[in-house]
Amino acid sequence: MDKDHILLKLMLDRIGFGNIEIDTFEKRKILQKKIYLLQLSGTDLGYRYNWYLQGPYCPTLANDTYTLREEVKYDSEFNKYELNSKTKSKLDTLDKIFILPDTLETNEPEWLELLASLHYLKHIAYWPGKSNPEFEEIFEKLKESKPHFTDKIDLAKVAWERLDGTGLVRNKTLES
Amino acid sequence: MGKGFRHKIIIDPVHGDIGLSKLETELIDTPTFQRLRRIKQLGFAYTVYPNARHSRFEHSLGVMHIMSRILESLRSKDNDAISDEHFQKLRIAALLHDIGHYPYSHLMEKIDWGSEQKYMSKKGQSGVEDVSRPKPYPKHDKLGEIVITERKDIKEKLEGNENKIEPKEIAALIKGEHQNIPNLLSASLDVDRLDYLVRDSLNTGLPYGRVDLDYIVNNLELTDRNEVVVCAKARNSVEHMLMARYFMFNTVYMHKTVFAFEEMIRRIISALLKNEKIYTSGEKIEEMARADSDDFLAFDDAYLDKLIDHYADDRRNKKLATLCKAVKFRKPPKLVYEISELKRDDDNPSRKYTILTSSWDSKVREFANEFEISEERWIFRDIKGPEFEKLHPFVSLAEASELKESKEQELRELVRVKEKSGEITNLLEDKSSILHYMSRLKPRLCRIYIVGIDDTKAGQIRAKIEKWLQS
Repeated sequence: MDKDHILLKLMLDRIGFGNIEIDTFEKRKILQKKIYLLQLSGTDLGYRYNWYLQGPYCPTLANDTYTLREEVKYDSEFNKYELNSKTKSKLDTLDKIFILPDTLETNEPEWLELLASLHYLKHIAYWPGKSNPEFEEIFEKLKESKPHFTDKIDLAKVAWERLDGTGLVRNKTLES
Repeated sequence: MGKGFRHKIIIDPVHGDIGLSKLETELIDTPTFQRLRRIKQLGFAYTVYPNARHSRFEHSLGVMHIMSRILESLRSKDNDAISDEHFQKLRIAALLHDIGHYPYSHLMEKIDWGSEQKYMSKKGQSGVEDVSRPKPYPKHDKLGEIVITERKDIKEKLEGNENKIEPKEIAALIKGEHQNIPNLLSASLDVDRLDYLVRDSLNTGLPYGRVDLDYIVNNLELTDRNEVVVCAKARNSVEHMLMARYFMFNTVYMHKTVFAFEEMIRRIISALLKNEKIYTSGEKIEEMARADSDDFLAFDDAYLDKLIDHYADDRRNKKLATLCKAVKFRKPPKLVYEISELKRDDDNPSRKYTILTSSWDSKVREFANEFEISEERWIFRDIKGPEFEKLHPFVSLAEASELKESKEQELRELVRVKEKSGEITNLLEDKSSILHYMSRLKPRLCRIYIVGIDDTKAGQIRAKIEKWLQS
């Protein structure tokens, strides 16, 4: 098993996808967004995301995950490895943003989609003639491309605060 | 095409006359763009197909031309589909999409930097954490973004008084990060692929990539969601294109000798890196690309050729010299074993494949001792993952075909068909499509090469490996 696939397997273990159960769209969505967000800790797995209907999405990650799902059936090389302590501690710093807000109605896929989308629109998406969009502009853009968030401004504000609290509004990643 | 795009005409063997606007002409005339003339599109494929020496330069022109034709086709159905401003920006994005390519195209991007080891360690060795590894070379698209947004000659032409095009916007279009302009550069039916299949086919002399470009282009439409779909009547042409990718992939991109040379080059680059004879980190490459100096202009195929030439005679590093000589005098390593399988994606790989891929790392030492061939002369490759998928027509399709919900984002990767009724479907879901069945197949390819052995030795080793795998 290639080292990049071993690392992906260790990361999937970390986010509760060790069995690589990706048979539903919701599960794949959670996996995609969690890897997106975890990379922001400075653990760069090399996955680059594009903007799709349901937020940032990386086709390469999707393909790697499907390949890995097959590989683990006959190759257990990954068992010899573990995330090192520095990586674990970096990933720990992001744990709190994953916790669903207890005051508003939401679910894990929606929450992660919101976090990843807000971050993507803030730091990665191209804004004609603008370099540092504010929350209000970002939310307008979000509603435009994802109408299912139209009535979710309160939730979006909580997500924004959560990103801000970890430093991901000011900086693109925790290492920048 | 408007008169503005006839400022200059370039004759191309694939597309005929390619018209250019004034700005496009100026961009092409920059030293940075001219560098693409010196980067072969197909890397080392010329070692097998002698005429495959075409460059990123003509491919870039071709991609721009196809982009233009698609945009015209979309406009012919809906005059408001693409504004004049977006028309020019999309042409420029197509023209510059490969501006950050490395010498010999993809080779230098695929070096094993061991970056993963920065984040993980072998169990029980967690105290030994290696965090001092250099940053890997950026991918060519990242390097292209740096060139477009920071390199003086390109940036100045885009921002010039008459043009006022923001370089970041062009970079965003190439990366699919633009929020308002349709993504025509990285989809299943993308302009890049449509050009390289036909161009590679023409220049290798192989017939497989000669797709029905005209019919495909004329039958594209844009949906309300800025999604490119193909009209049902062009279904056969699209299927042919996807099959063409499959045959071109097997015949050219994965040809045993082409692949062997490229693998040797990767080893040479790794050795040069280790000895600090080439750019030692991603930061240095990025710095060189953004600087207004000639270093980036000299970073072309000849850059690697000169190094290979020089180190072929280096008596201080015999291992490196052996590899460089083999490339210089076209002595490819011998393919001593290969497993190639095409099975349903829910079938397990063969027993031989499983043993070979899971046990080779421990077995190679034993073979190396027995045949007295040092380990570094053995090249083992289990070809899969992103680099394989990138060119392969069926991997992503096969996996995505498992999906049931037709609106899933994954399916945007696939070819979408507009039926006569107006309904949008996925080509793969059509049971009358050959791709519906082909998409269930998963290819696996595993190869072992050895540098510097003769046919007799290769035969002996092949028999030994076969015996091991059958035991």
